[in-house]
Amino acid sequence: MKKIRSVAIAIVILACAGLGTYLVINKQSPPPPPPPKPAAHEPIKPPVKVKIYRIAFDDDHAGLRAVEAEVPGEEVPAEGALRCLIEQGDEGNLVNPIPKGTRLLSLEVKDGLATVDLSKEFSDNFAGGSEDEALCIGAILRTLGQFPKIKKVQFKLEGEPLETLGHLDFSGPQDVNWVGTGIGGGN
Amino acid sequence: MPREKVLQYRFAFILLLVTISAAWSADNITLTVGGESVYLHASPVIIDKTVYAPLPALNALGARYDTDKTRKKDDQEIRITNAAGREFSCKSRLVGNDLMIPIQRIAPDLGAVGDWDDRKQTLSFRARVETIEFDGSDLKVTTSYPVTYDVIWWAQAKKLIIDLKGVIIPNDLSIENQTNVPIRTGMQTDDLTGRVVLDMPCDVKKSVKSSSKTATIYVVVSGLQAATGLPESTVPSQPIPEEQPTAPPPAEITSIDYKEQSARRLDVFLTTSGRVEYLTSLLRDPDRLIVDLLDSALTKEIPDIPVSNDIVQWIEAEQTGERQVKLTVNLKRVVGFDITQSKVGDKMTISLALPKGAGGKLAGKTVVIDPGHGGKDGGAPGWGGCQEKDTNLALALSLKKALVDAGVVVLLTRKTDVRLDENRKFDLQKRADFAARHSADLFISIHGNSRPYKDKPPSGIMTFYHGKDMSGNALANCIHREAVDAWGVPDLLCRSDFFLFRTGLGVLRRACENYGIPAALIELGYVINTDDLAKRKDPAWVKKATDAMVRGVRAYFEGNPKPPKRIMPPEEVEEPKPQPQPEIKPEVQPPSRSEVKPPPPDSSGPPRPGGRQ
Repeated sequence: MKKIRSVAIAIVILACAGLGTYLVINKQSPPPPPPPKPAAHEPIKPPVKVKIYRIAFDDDHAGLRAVEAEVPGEEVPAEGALRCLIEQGDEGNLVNPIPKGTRLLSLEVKDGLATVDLSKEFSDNFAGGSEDEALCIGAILRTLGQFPKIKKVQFKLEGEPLETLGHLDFSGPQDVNWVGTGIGGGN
Repeated sequence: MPREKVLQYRFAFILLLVTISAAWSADNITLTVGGESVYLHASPVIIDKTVYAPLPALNALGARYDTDKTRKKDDQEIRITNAAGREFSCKSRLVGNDLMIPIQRIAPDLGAVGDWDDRKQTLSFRARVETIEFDGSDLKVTTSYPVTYDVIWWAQAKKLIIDLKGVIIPNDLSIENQTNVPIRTGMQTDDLTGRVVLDMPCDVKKSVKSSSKTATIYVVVSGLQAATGLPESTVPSQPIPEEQPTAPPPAEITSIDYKEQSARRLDVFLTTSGRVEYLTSLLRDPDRLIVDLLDSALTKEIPDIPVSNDIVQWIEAEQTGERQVKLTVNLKRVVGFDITQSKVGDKMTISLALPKGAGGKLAGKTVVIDPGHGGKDGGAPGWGGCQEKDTNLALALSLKKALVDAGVVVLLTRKTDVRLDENRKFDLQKRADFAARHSADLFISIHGNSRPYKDKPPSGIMTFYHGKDMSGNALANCIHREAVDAWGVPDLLCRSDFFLFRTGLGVLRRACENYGIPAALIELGYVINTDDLAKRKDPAWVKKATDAMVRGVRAYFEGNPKPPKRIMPPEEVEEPKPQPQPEIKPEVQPPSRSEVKPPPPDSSGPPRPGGRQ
């Protein structure tokens, strides 16, 4: 009897394994890669290191500089990076380029286009010159631009397309490489 | 527990493990070779902790594979011949519809050094530099698979340099040197480019005999044996790790030429051996454009080039430092300019053009002045609660008065403290529309600057034009240099708005691109600096700035009131050929011979970074 039971258990497990293999082979996009540890409980994902672009002073020139930040493993890295960029306070030589009080309402990435929806404070609390605006928009573009899936960014304010903060013209999708060389854009 | 039962459980568990490990794969894995991502029709996947890639990935590493028997079935043996010609085989896996090979595991067999970046999900390959051979004439560098490279002769330092892209230089690199020319190797700071440096005792000539992507780089060096009577010794030198990357050789400027594209446009061409960083200054009294070419050298002395048309008098170039060349284009009047460089860096073009409306009189022209911001949009908050919008309006009204006194028709986009569009959305568009509606000859937007700062607030004037628009460039330069002189504040340069952002400043873009109106935006001082702000608020200083700007606008249309200096050095003087006089009518008499003197030293402020616009 015991023998029959154990054989039955083995058969059930084999069947499950077989079904699993079948499902996996037929699946188009397999689940994320290693470590392949069949854990009994939900694995804890290590935090992901990302870059955020903040204002830094070199002599007296202000430009964007990449600073490392950690995003919890459970968070979408691009969203986490943008959240860090918006939330981090000023410290020493590094200044937050995003208008105070701004909240990230949503970030959607589809076909290389990231749509960033920001709260009204982004526009209402922006009070600066053309350089301030270029630094602010540039920081978002460069921060999102580090993710290979993001090529362009569409800015939105409370769901509506946003074109300017008073100087620049960023209507429509903006290429992540459009940040000017004068404020820390790539070449 | 009975033994068989334990066995059964173990068996089942192993089966489960196998199933799960086979399932660990991911899409969106990138493969790079020498820093460039490899295009593949299907994304590599991870199976059993190693990256599998479609068969064509082998091509990027110079390897070949047997396709004849490649029928799509799992676990099939694939025969591969690596770039060095060595054969080996490995088992493939069928993923979806593609046969994939464990490219990460077989990388050593392919001669590739692979690095896995888990965060970027990228597997990067570099080739190994395997041998360097030099016998005084033939220089051969071999790599484990084909790479791209540059061979550079740095004349000043007498160094022959080979830069290999996407390689590593192993410690056991074999150097067979039959000369006493030191051969050093090292990695560049990008950690992708390996550099081989030969310190030559004399000038040599190099001739590259291999194709641009190869595993055997072959360079023939001539001129060495004659100078040293080689071969003298056969002491092989050891690879010395570069402590500091060698400074790249300066770009060579081999020739300067020009072409009159039309009566209003002339292009100056420089033949260069690489891309050149430069600074520009458009100076007056006399009018000239100076382009300081950094990290560059003239290969030979270039005599002055006479031009003598309506734009340019003559062009001269001189080596002003070991690694700097100064190009001076002596002008007939204020021009707009734009500098471009070819992608490969073999040509630099300096375009010069008469700006729109040049040659006419200032009186009777229509100028639209745009005081920045307004209404709910206060602009940058200034010191002591002063708002940028208010000082912008005061400056605009003062400029209006000064221009009206000079006979100009002036219109303001706003005369009071209002916003042109309540939602900010069309604010900039409406300003440009206004200028177009009134057929403006020029559009000048007035702003005050602001930016974050560390110790002391910045001070100075910065002026923008749109993109590569040459009329805008002329207008911006004209008003900028006058305003800087009038206020005596730091010259923060006249720049393309691409310096800030690739689509530029909204109001300039619209005026320029939509309507073709020459446009400039001047940031007159920083509102966060007490001194600059005091000038913006003091009517006397405001008048100084706006009177100066009128001089600039006049120079834009009428040219400089001061006579242009002489034409050419005395021995080469030719009588200027009678030219059909276009709309340029100099108000002043041509200079007499007695006035001939060399241009004074540059005194009109520091050079301006032209940068890569």
